[in-house]
Formats: sequence, C-alpha cells, structure tokens
Amino acid sequence: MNIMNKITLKSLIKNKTRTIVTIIGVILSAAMITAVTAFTSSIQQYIVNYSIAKIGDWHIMFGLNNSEAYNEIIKDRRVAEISLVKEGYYAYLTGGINQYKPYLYLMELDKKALDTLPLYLIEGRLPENGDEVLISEHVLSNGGVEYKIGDQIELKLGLRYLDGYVLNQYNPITFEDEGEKEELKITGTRKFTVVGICKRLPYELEGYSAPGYSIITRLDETNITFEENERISVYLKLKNPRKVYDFENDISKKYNIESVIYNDDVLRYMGISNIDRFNKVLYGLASIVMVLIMVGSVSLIYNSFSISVSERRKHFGLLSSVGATRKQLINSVLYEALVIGSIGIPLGIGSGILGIGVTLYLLRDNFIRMFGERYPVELSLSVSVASVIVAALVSIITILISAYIPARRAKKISPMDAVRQTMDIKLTAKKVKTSALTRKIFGIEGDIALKNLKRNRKRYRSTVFSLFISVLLFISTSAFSMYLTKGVENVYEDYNYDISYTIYKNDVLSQNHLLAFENICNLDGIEDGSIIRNSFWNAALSKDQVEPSFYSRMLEYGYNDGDDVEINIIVYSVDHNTFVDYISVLGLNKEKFLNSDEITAVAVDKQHYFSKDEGRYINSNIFKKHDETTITVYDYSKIDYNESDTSQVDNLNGATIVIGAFADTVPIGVSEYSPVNSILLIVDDEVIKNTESSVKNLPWYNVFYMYFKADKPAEVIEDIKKILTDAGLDTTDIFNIAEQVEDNRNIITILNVFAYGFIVLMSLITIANVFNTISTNINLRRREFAMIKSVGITNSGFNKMLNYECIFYGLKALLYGIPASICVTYLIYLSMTEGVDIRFFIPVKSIFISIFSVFLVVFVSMMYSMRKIRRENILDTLKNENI
Amino acid sequence: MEILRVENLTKIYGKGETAVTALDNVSFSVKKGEFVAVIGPSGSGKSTLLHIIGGVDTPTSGKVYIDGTDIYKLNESQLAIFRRRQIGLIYQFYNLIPILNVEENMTLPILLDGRTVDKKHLNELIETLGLKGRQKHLPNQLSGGQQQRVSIGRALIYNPAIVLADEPTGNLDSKNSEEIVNLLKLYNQIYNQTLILITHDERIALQADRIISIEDGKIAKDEVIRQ
Repeated sequence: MNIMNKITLKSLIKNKTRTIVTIIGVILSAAMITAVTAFTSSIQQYIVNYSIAKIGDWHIMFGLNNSEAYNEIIKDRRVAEISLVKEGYYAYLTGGINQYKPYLYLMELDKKALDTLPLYLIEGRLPENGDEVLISEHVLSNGGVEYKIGDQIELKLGLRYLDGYVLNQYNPITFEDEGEKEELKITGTRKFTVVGICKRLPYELEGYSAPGYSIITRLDETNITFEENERISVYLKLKNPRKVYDFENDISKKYNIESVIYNDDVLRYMGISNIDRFNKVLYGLASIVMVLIMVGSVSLIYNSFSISVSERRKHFGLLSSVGATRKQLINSVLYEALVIGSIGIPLGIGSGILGIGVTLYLLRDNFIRMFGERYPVELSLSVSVASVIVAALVSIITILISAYIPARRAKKISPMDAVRQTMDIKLTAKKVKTSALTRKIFGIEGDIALKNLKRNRKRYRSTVFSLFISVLLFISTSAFSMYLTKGVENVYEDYNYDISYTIYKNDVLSQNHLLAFENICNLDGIEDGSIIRNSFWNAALSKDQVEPSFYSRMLEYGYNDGDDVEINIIVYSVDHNTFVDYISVLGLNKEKFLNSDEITAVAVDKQHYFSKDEGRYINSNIFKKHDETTITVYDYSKIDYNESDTSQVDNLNGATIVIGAFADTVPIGVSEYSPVNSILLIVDDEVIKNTESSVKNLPWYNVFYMYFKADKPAEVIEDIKKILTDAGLDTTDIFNIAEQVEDNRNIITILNVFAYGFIVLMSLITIANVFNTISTNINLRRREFAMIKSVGITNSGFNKMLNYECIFYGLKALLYGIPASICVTYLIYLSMTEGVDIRFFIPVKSIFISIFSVFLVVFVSMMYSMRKIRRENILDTLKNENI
Repeated sequence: MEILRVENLTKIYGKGETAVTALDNVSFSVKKGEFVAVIGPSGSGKSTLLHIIGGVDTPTSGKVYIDGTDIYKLNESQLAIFRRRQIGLIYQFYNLIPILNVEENMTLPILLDGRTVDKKHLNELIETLGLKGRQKHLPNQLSGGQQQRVSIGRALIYNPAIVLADEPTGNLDSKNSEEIVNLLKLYNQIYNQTLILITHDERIALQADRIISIEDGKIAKDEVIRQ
C-alpha cells in the first residue's frame, strides 16, 4: 500500500470515535437518499401496477373493422403481446330498470385478453368457450336483473343503428323524444351458460354513459373473421413502450383504423406519455428532498473531514517538508473519503432499502385503503437499478464535496506552519471594533464575546454555518411537508357527506320518500341529512363584472372583446330546514333569503378543475367583486345550435335571481367547488315551490338526492336500506361515499408519516452537526479559556461570556437562516404549483420553533462541552502546548 | 565542487509598517562535503535561511542553487520531489509521524516516491544510528535522542545532496547532543555528506569546517576554521 494511504488509514484507526461518527453520518445520509429514491421508484411502480390492475396490461388499442390491418398488426415485430376482443353486438336486457342502460353488450375475449384486461371474478370462473359467459354484477346492482351461475340465457344479438351508422359503447342511448330513435337490428341468436360473476369493467372500457352492460365470453382466436360492421379491438403491448406514439402514427398512416385508444394512465405513470406531469412532480419533489438531505449531510460530513484535516495538519506539513507533493496530500484526504464512503455507502444503501421496506410494509394497509380495495395491488418495495445508482451517485457526490473543501485547505498547509506549529485558526490582524453600546449593555464579558466572534471569523463561521443550515433545513422541510399536504388536499375532493341516495324520475318527491328521509335522519348513527335537486342554467355576465383573467380566457373561446360572456349556473335547491340552518350559520338575514317574491340565492364562486392546457389543478373565481348582485338566468338547453337563427337567444325567457351573498361553505350534499366556467347557486326548495317568479318556469332535473352525514356509515347503511325497503322504495342507488373519502384521508396520513419522519431525521442530523461543531470549537479553545481564567475572570463572568457568545451565534444564524429558508419555501411553492394551484404561505410556526430550538441547542451544546473543561486545571492546560 | 550557492537572498515578512526583513541580501556558497555551522542570536534569520535553502519557505528575492538546480524555478510538485530526493531536513522537535513506526518514518521519502527500500542500505543505516531492534517501535516508545536519530535516518536515507539541521540538539541533554553531533560528523566524514547545521552552542559550532554567523539578516562573519 502507498505510504500516504497507509498514514490515512492509520490515523482513521487512531481516531476511532471520529471515524465512526463520520461513517454513521455517511450511513444516515446514504440511507435517507436511498429511502427517497427507493420510495420514488416504489411509488412509481405501484401506480403503474395499479393502473394495470385497473385498466389492463396493454399500451394501445386499435379498433379494427378489416382484416388487412389486423393481419399486419399481429405480425408486426414491434408488438410483444396481443389480446383480441370481438365486440359490437347488443341484446336487450329483459327486465332492466335503468332506462339509460337497456342492453347487454357482448365482448368476446381471446385467451390472452382474459389475462390482459382487468377482469375481477366475484364468484364462479372465467368462460372457457364461446358458450359460456361471465356477467358483471352491475347488471344486478344497477340493472336490477339477477343472473345466477348455471343460468342458461338465450340472447338475440344485433347491432345498434342510428341513421345508418353503427353505434358502440361510446354512444349513449338515444330516445325517441330527443328526435331520433336508435334501432337494434337483430342478426342472430346465441345461447350461453353463466359461469361467473365479475366486477364492473373500468370506466375506460365501459364508460358511465355506455348503454350496455358488458358480458364476457371466449373468442376462438384461431378463427378470426370480419363480418360486415363487426369490430375487433386489438389490445397491444409493445416491446418498447416508449415508441408507442411512433407506432400508432405508422399504423394509422398505413391502414384504415376505426379507433385508437392509448392506455394513458399506464403510459403516463411509466413516464412515457406526453403529459407526464405526474413524473415531473414526483421527480421534482424527490430532487428537492435529496438536495435538502445533501445539504444537511454535507455540512455534517464536511465538519468531520474538516476536523480530521485540522488534526492532521501537522502530518501534512511534515509530509510536505520531506517531499510529499500537494497532489499526494489531496489524494490522501480523498482516500479518506473513499475509505469512509466504501464502508458507509453500502451500509447506508442497505439500511435505506431496509428502512423504507419496513415502512412500506407497516403502512401497507393504509396504502391499500388509499386507493380503495377495488384492485388487489399492494405497494411493495420496488428498488430499481436506477434508484440504487442514483442514490450511490448522490452519496458519493455528497462525500466528495464534503472532503474536497478541507482537502483544498490541506493542500495549502505549508511545511513551515507545521514545523512552527502555528494555530489552526489565524486571527485577523485588523482592528476589531465593538460599539461602546455593547460594553454598556453586556459588560466586559459581552464585549470579549463579540470580539472573539469578530476576530476568529473562520471558527465562528463554521458554527454559524452549521446553525444556519439547520435552520434552513428545518424550516424548508416543514414547509415542504405542509405544501405537500395542502397540495394533496387540493387534488382530492373531500366530501361533506358520507352516504348518498339518488331518486330518479320524480318531479316531486312522494310522501313515502319524505317520510323515509325523516326516519333516516332520526336514526342514531345519522348526524345530518339534506334533500337536494339540481338544475343547470346559464347567465351572461358583462366584462366589468368578471375577473380579467377569466374574461381573457373566454376571449380565447371566440368571444369578442366587449361581449358579455356566458357562464354556467349550477343550482342546488336544498330542503327548507337545511337551507335555514345554512344561512343562519352564515349569519345572513332569513327574511331576505326566504322571500318567495324575489328569489335570493347564496352563491359559491370557487372553481377547482384540472386544466389540460396547463396540466395542473387550478383554483379560480369568476366574479370580480363578491358583492350582492342580480343576474338573469336562462335555460340554453332548448337552443338548437344547428340553426343560425340568433334571435333564439333573445326569445328565451330569462328569470331574475338575486345573489344575496357569496359564501365559502356549503350545505351538506353541495359540492364545495364548481367546475370550470361555473358558479353554484344555493336556494331554498320551498321558496322555489311557492314562488310566482319566472324562475318557476325554468326546468329542473327530475332527480332528487338525499345526503347523510353518519358516524359509522358502513353500519348505518343497513338500517337505511331497511327503512327504504319498508317504505317500498328502491335501494339500488345508495352509495357509501365515506369509503372513498377514507381513501383520500389515507393518502394524507401516509404523507404525514413520511414528512414528519423526514423532519425528525433531518433535525437529528442537524442537531448532531451543531453539537459536533460547537464541542470541537470549545475543545480547540481550551488554552484560550484557561488563559482568560488565569487572568482572573470569575466563574459567573465566564458563563456570562459564553452565554453572550451563544446569543450572538444564534442571532447571526437566524439572521441568514430565516430569509434563506423563506426563499427555499418559495422554490418549493413554485415546484408544487407545477401540479396544483395553491397559495404561497410562510411556515410561521416552524420559524418560531426553529428560533427557539437554535438557542436551546446552542446553549445545551455549549454547557455540555464546557462541563469537561471546567474540571481541568488551568496550568495543565496552559502547559499543554507541544503535543 | 560547489553543491550549494545562495545569491542575494532576501526575505521580508509582512507588508508596509509591519514588514520585517528576516534576510537581507545574503550570498554564499558551500562545497560538496563541507560541514557548515550557522550561528547567531535568536531572531537573526538563521532558521529562515535554512528553511529557504530547504525549499519549504519561499524567498522574497534571490536565488538558491542546489547541485546546479535553481530550486525556486521548479513548480510545486517538482520542488516537493526535489526536496524528497536531494534535501534532508532535521528539526529540533524531531517531527516524526506518530502513527508510523521507526522503519516507516525513516524510509518515508522513498515510500513517498513509491519506490522499494534497499534493505541493505536501511539496515546499515539503522545499525550506524544505533536503532537496531527498534525498527517496529512507534516514536512515542523512544527517547528524545532515539527519536532524533530516527529523524537523522530519514534525512540521510536518500543520500541527499545536502542535509540541513535546525538546532538538532536543542531539545537534548549534553550526552545525547554529543552523540547526535558525532553521528552527523561521521556521515560528513565517511560519506562526504554536505551538512549545514544551525546551533547556538559554541562547542558544536567549533566542530564544523566553517562557521557562518548571521546578525540582523546579514552575514556578519564567514570563516573557515578547518580545511
């Protein structure tokens, strides 16, 4: 072994404690960095798996109606896996109760497609041939028709036509009263045996407005033919998913393709899709966290190396005088880094992976609940090679930075310094001024303390820098987790009710319903309830009524400057009791809002939506001023946009509504935000019923909703069902929203666990760091203290001096630390607004905590380090010069 | 044959008001095999002179030629390598590396060069220095005199052009001092090793071939007392 390395190793072994502390620092740092990368890659893998479980393990789907394209695609070398689904045939669902979904929709899946598409059996088994069929439980829960395993069914199958066009699942049912009537042309009959019941197919495959319940049978893939108007959907998994867009381009250009669907979710989460905001935000956040960790670790590890270099200063000078080159000296420090890194980094990566693995394991139930238990996907540790490489690289860079700065200092050590044994810290020769005020306020002790700081800039700087970094890390870390929580709360809509019950096709609620409602509200577990019906109107607002940003956006939709712009009005007509409660909570005048001559509404002007253009969630409002105002509302739904007759709009009879107040809160059952370009109006249903105003003539949806707040929704829901059944009412449209809300709250819990875990770890690192710096400094100043004591400073005076020093340290650190951390907070805010529209705020609480902690940590470290020194004999310390 | 030539050497510490002239236009030369003692009161600049000759401090102006090489024309690492091979430095406080054993401390310049040690040469040296059986000892297991002998060994291991000793006996009792000076003289006589020694001990200075006395940074007297 090279002699320089040998010396390095020997001195590492000699200073066991410091070496171990440094290695622990490296382990901590590498572990945290690995935890971040491993968690990031696990989350990403989980989301990909989740999307696969939800939508299926495919990248792109081509809807084909001719064998030419089919024959080419299945031969294409870029394709890894092919699943086939022959579809298009409908049959009437006899006895169905949902008029919007009158059909069964036959999907014939080949063997591969049964695997690829997200089919989840509730009971029974998958179909094995073309005579067996799998039925979605939706047929019973929504369509009201029950099939049991073993049932024989005979279906008269045919294609849906409208005006000569073939319709598919993307075309909702059309009714006669809408002018045109679609037609099912029966082409044949098939017999099936029911062999299984499965969950409803996901939205992507069976849309919410799809008119047919999917039923699934086996397709004989050996014999694919294209009858006229038949359609085969080819679900493809590509060998290189990154090329999926090129592939689509290529195929669509060459062949006649009926439709193309990308598996957007899977592609996005794999980081392939064009709109990969998700990954951007994920990587952005991971990078911020890693930079924070790096800064913290560098300041700790740097300190260790710095101390080591100081101690080895004499060695370096000696070596230099016997002819060691500067390069050899630098290499020696870097070798020290290498030794420490090669022990610390592998251990750190190992413990980081272990740590995050255990955390994920302990939180697995929360994670499963987070996305609901609809899909059997677990968040498990997924350590990608890239994540380990990134972690190792970041750790190595951290150590190199930490070692390089002191190494440069080692290089500068001249042999002369070593030979002469000059002090590590050079005092500035400049005159150091302290104001007379300082002496007056703090006495001679304060004066010495301040002079000490000013004179020993370098030593003072290292302590202040450690403190500064700690303040910065603490505040930015807490800001980070606060923004994260806020951001998540913003993305996931929270509901203000737990259970909903929908009553279709009723213009007026029957006495039965009202009675049932009352009974349900009287149940023990129910805290609150409301009945709501909606309508959807429009209103035109003038330029000066609306926010300029809203107006300019509307101009992009084709309005001319100066025009009135049309907005959507979503009206919630709530039951009288709920409304009265609502306005009294808001502190509004009852008489004004309950006056049936002039309809007065409470408006909610808060839009929250996902902007495709900006690729993020936006919060906005439409009205410039939230003052009382009167608007005229219209029902635009009667306008026939195909006719160019502009007088249609003028001929509409509008109705006047007073917006009596704008509110931020809503009654139970009303959504807290409105969609883009819309505002919410909340009115009293009883006022609407009794009014003579022209509002009466505007249309209402013939659907009523009941909303309930419940203590334990899952338990009370059975009681509700019983009340409804006893009243002879349908129970199919009860939903337990609480389950879904629970999922969202789980996300926030998980985030908080990580955020606070992170804050705690970071605080530990930084406290260790400050402690380390201060105690080293105190140690280096032993002679100085002994000297001050020898000239007769009293113990209390000495303590006073040290306390002042602490105060000056803390003040200086905070002076730099707080502004810097506000800047970092702003950067975090900028990164978050990439994905979510949130307001900038300063983490005031954390700032106060950090101010308090800075002084606490400084005082405690100082006192602890001094305890040892106080016991020392003055003379011994003074004599102890040449060691 | 001239082994060392010093030309117009000046060293000024500090600037402006606080400037101190440690060496003031010093010139002299030393022949190969000469044993030169440098004497002078403390603060006269003798240590500065030695350090500048040794290539560990830099002159403000002037030149130092060792074996024909202008050493301050060399760059950082060339100078370090030159120091390692051509200059042997001996200090008052031994300056051994505490974590290396005797053998390693002695062979340090060779090890820094990444070369292998000539065992025969090393053993001869160890024997001459009276350190036999102590090769594996650490410096703190040795007495002061023994430590200084190790540092002499380190200075001689490469057979340098010149050995510079800065008060090598300053920290030793008279018996040990005598032994150290005798050792240095031995090497000077047997191996014709050039030796420059700083001391304020008249008796030691008188054992040299030539005495240069320095006062206020200038050569006050330069006399050859032995041919």
